[in-house]
Amino acid sequence: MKNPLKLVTVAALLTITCVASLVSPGSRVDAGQGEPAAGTADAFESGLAIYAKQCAVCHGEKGEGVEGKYEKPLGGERTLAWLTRRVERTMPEADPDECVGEDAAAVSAYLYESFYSPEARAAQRRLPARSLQRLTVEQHRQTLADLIASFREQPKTTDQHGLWVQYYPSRGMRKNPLAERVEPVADAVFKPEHPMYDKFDKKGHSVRWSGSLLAPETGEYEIIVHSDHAIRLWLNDGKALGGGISNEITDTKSVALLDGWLQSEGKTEFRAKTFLLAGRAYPIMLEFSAHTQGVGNKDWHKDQAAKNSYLSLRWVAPGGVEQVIPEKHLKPQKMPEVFIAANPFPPDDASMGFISGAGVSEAWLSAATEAAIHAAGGVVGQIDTLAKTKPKSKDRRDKIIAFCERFVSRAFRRPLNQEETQRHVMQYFSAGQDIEQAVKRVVLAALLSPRFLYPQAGVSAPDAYDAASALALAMWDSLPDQALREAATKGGLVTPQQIEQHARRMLKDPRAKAKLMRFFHHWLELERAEYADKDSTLFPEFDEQLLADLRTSLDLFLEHTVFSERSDYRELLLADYLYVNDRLAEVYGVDRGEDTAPGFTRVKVPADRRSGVITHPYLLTAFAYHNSTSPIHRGVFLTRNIIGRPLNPPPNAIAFEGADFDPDLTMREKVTAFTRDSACMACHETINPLGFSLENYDSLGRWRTRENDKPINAESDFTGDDGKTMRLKGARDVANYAIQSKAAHRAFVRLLFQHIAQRDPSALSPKTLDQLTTHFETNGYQIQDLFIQIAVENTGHRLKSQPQDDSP
Amino acid sequence: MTGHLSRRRFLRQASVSAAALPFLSGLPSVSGAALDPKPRRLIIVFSPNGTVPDAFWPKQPGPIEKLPPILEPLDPFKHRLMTAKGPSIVVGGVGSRHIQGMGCLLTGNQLFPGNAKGGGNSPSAGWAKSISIDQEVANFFQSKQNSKTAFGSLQFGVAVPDLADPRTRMSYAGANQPLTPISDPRWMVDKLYGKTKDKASLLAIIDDVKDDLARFSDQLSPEDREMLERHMEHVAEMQRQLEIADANDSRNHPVPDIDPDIELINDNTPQISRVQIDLMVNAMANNMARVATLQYMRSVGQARMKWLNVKEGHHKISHEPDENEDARTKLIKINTWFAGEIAYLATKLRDTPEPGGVGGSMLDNTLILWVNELGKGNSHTLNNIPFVLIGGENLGIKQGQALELGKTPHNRLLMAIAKAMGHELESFGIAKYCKGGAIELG
Repeated sequence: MKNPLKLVTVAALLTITCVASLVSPGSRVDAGQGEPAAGTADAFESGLAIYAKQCAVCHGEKGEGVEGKYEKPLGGERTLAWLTRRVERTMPEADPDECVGEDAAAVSAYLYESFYSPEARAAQRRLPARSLQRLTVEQHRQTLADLIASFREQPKTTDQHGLWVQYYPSRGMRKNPLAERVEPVADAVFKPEHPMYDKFDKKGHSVRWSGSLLAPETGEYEIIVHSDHAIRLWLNDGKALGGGISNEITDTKSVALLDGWLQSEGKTEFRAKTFLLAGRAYPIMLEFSAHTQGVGNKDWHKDQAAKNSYLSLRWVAPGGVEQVIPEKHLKPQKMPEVFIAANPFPPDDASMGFISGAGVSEAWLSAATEAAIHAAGGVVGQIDTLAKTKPKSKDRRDKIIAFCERFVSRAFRRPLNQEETQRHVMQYFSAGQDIEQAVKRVVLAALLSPRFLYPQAGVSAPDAYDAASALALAMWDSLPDQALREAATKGGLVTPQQIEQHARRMLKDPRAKAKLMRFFHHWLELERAEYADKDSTLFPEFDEQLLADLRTSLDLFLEHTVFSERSDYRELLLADYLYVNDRLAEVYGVDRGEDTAPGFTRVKVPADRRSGVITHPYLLTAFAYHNSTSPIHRGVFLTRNIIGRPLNPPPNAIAFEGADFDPDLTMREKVTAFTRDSACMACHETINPLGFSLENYDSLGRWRTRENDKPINAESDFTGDDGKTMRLKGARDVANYAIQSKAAHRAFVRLLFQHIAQRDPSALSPKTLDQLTTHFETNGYQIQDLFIQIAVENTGHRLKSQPQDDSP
Repeated sequence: MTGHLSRRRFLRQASVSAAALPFLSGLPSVSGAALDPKPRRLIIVFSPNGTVPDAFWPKQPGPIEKLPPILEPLDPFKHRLMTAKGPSIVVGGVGSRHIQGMGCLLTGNQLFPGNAKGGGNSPSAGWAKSISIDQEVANFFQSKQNSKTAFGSLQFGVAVPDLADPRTRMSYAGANQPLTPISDPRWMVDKLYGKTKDKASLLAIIDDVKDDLARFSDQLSPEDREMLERHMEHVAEMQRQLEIADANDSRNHPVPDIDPDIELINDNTPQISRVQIDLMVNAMANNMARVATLQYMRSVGQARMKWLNVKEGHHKISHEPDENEDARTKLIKINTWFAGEIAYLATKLRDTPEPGGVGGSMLDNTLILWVNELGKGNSHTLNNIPFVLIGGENLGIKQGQALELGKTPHNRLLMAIAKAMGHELESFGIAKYCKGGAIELG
C-alpha cells in the first residue's frame, strides 16, 4: 500500500500541471445577456491603428503570431470586458502603461471583432476537414457484444437486486430445495445460528446462488470466493445456466471460472481475473457443498462442518479493493451470456481532451483482427444456437446463410442490397464449401470491413439507418437494437421527435447509465484518484479501503443526483449531503443520527461545510499532495472543469515544492509567494482564488479551520467573466458562481457532447454548442435531458430538418 | 463424456491464451534455433486399475526371451523394452489406494488432505503436494535454448471423464496445481494448430477486405480517404506478414492431415486413441513439445470395452478374485489392448525419421514409460507397479531386459527417468524415499 514508487509517480504527475497559464479563458456572453456592443466603426479603425503600432510586433500583422515572440495566433472565446481589462493591465508587456484607457478599449474592440467574437471564431474554426472516425475501443467491444447478443433471446429485465439462493438439505443438489429465496449477497457462515442449520442433513448440505453480475465499468474484475468447503463458480457461461448444473461431480456440464469442488488443504481462497464490459449483466452461479465428494463418508457429521463452514463471494472491481460483491451489482435474474473481446487494444486518441476514433495504427488493426478471430470462433462454436437450427436439420444450410445475412447487415447497420449480399455472404457459401468455414470467413470479413469499423463514414445526408447508428453509438457506444432497426425500416426515425423518443427509451438501459457515469468520472478526473496516496504519519486514517469507500460514496452521490427525476446540474454543485458508511462517518465527522443501517446512507451536512461534488472528499483527496493540500491543483480543476475557463500548459513549468518554503507558512501563503510573478498571475489570478476557496478541506478532504495554528483564510477576490470583481468566501460561492455562469454551462455541455459524440460540437455546426447550452439553461439544467438532446443533435437530423441561418 | 462442452472449455482456455499472445507471433519456429545434437523426449502412458501380474511380468530377470501375454503386442520391440519390477509407491498419506496411486505415481509425494473420498476408511484427499516428473523434465527442457519448444509438454487423454479429482489427474505443475489432460482430439488440434488455422482463414478473406476498403474509399471525401489509405497500408502489411508466417508454418509445423472429428463416446475409444497418438507423434515431430503424457481413462476407470467383447466396467472386473477365470481373461484382454496402443505409438515413432537430419528414428531418442496406479486390481497393492520402458536407444537405457529390483521406492525410478533425459536430480518427491539415488537403467 505505502509504495514509495507510487508516491514518486503521484508527485511527478502533480508537478507537471502545477503551474498553468491562462491562454484562452473567459467566455462569450450571448446576445441578449448584456453583451457590450463591440464598438463603433471608429473604435475599430483606431484600434487597428494601435494594434499595428503596438501589438503587431509580437502578435503579427494579422494576429498570426511571431516566431520567438508570441507564437500562438490570437483567437478563442473571450468577452470584450475581459480583453479590455487584460490589455489595460498587461499589454504591451514591455510597458503596460503604453496602452490604457480609450486606447485599450479601442484595440480591444478591434481584437474582439477580428479574433474573439462568435463570428470571428466561426470563421477561424472551419469544420474539421476529417470526419472519418473508427469505432473507439469501448465501442468496438460493446458493438461486438451486442452484435452476437442480438441473436440470443433477451429476457425482459427487472429492477430486483441480490441473488437467488437455493438451500439443499444434503451434500448433492438432487432433492427438492429446503428453501428458495432472494438474498442480497453471498456471504454466509453455516453455524448453528444460521436459520437453515437445523434443517440440514447431518450428512452435509449444499447451497446454490444464481443470477447475474452487473459490471459498472469496463475493465478487469477479480472474482474471489473464500470457503473451507467445496465450491465452484461459473460466470458468463450460458451453458452452466441453460442446462442447469447436475449434482453429480462426474457430470459437470460446463467449465467453471473457479473450481474448488475438489478441496485440497491450503486452498480456501479461489481467485480468477476476468474482463467485463460496463453496463451489462453476466450470468453467474455459485455452488457450495459441505461434505466430502466421491464415496460417501460415514463418519462425517454436520457439526464438524459447522465449526467453520463459510462462503464469501467477493470481487475487486476496477479501481476498487476486495469486498463482498454488493447487492446492487447482483440480480437474481439469469441473463444470457455476453461475448467479450478481451484482447488488449491500443488506447484511443485523446489528444483533443476527449476519446475519439481518430487515427489507425498497425497495433489497432492487429487488435481488431484478433477480436474478429475471437468473435468468429465464438459464432462458429455456437452457430446452431445463433442460427436457430440443429446439427442435423435439413434446412441447416439455409438457416445459417440467413443468419449470416442478418449478421452482416447488423454489423454494417443497414440492410444489404443484392450485390452486397453476394459479395459479403454468398460468395463464401459456394458449393462444397464447409459450412463452418464459410461462417468463419463471413464473420471475419464483416468484422474487418470498413463498413463495420467506420460507422459514420461518408455520411453526407444521413438517412434513418445512419440516425439509428449514430443514436446507438451516442447512447450506448454500440449498435442499434431491434426497436431501432425496425423504426429505421418502417420510417419511424425521420423526425427529431421520433429520434428523441427512442433516445428517451434507450436512456433507461444500463449501457446508457454506464456511459453517463463514465463521463462524470472523466469530468471529475477520477483516474487521478486511483494514484492517491497519503503520508501515513500525518494521515493514519488513509488506506486503500478508505479510498475505495470514498469512491463508492462519490458514485452513490453521482447516481443519486444524475439519475434522479430532477437530474439537476445545480444540485450536483450545491447538494448539502454526503453518502457515508460508518468508516467515512467517523473519519469525516459526519453525524449519522439515528441511522444505523449498514452500508452507505445519505446524510445531510451543514450547507456551509459542503457544496456538492466540488467538496466531495474523494475529489479533494485526489487534488492534494500526500502531505498537504494543493490549492493549485484544486484551482486548475475548478477553473477548467467547473467554471469553464480553458487553461493551456504553462510555458515554463516550475515544480511547487512545499519543502522549499518556511514551514511556518500556510499553504495559501506558500502558493501566493510561489505565483507572485506577474507572468504567473495572468493565470493564477483565476486559479488561486478558486483553489484557496477549498483551503478549509485538508489533504483527505476533511473540514478544517486552522493550519499551522493559523486560521484558514478561504476568501479571495475573483474576476468574473463580465470583468467585475466579486468576493469568494468558500466552496459554495464557487458553486453558486458556476451555476449562473454561461461559460461554466458551455464548458459542461461541450465536455458532455465530446464524450457522447467523440467529436466537438463545432464539427456539427458553429451554433450547436450555443443552442444546446441555451436549451440546457432553459430546461431546468436537466443532465439526462441534455444527454438526450446531444444524442439527437448528433444524428444530424435536427440540423437537416431546420433551415440553417448561418452567416456564410 | 461430454464432447461438445469440453470443446467449449477448450475454446475458453484458448481465447485466454490467444489474448496473451501478440496475434502475429504465431508459434515459435524451430528453424532459427541451433540444431539439438542430442534430442531427448519423454512420453508417459497411463492405464488404470492394476495389471494381471503373472500375465504381465517376464518369467525371469535378465534378457527377455519371450514376452508374457499382456506384452505380446510389443513383440516387435522385444529387444527395445525393459520391464522394471520392484519399484513401489510407498509415500503413504491420505487417500485410498486408487487415489494415492494416481496422485503419487508421478510426483513421488503425498496428497494434501481434502474432500475426495475413496473406498475403505482412508481419509479423504486433495491434490498432490508437489510437481510431477513429466513437468519437472519439461521445465528442464524449457530452461535450455536448444530443447525449448512452443508448448513444453502436452497432456493427452483418452476417455478421461470431465471431472477434476485426484483420480483423474497425474500431472502436476506444482503443489495443488493439477494439469488437465485433453481428451478431445479437436481441442488438441485447436491448441496445436489453431493459430495456424486462423492465419489461413484470414489469408482467405484478406483480398476481399482490401477490395471492400477500395470500394468504400470511393464514397469518401479526399481527407477521409487519406485516413483510409493508412488503414489499407496496414492491411497490406498484415497480408505480407501472414504470408510469411504461413510459409513458415507449412515448413515447420504443418497442420497434419488428421480428422479429429470423432464423437466422444465410449465405443469410439479405439479411434480416439489412435488419433491422439497420431497428433502426439506429429506434434513431437514438429518439435512443438518434448514431453507428453497419454492418460487412458482414470484411476477407478469404468470403461466398458465392448470392442474387446468386454461388457462390464474395467474397475468392477479388476476387483474380481484371482480365481474368477472369466475376469482374469478379460483383464488380460484389456491390458493387452493397452499394450497394443503403446505398440502403435512405438511403431509410429520408429517409422518417423528423427527430424533435423541427425539420423535414426524418433524412437531412438524417445523414452516411453508405461505406468499404472496399482500393482494389482483386486488387492489394491501399490507394490510392483507395472512399469515398462520402451525405446530410447540413445538415452543410455539397457534394453531387452527384465529388471527385478526387489521392493524399492518408485521415487528412484522417477529420478532414473529424469536422468535419462539428462536431468540429474538429488531427490524427487519425498527425499527419504530417494536413498540410493536413481535406479541404474544402463
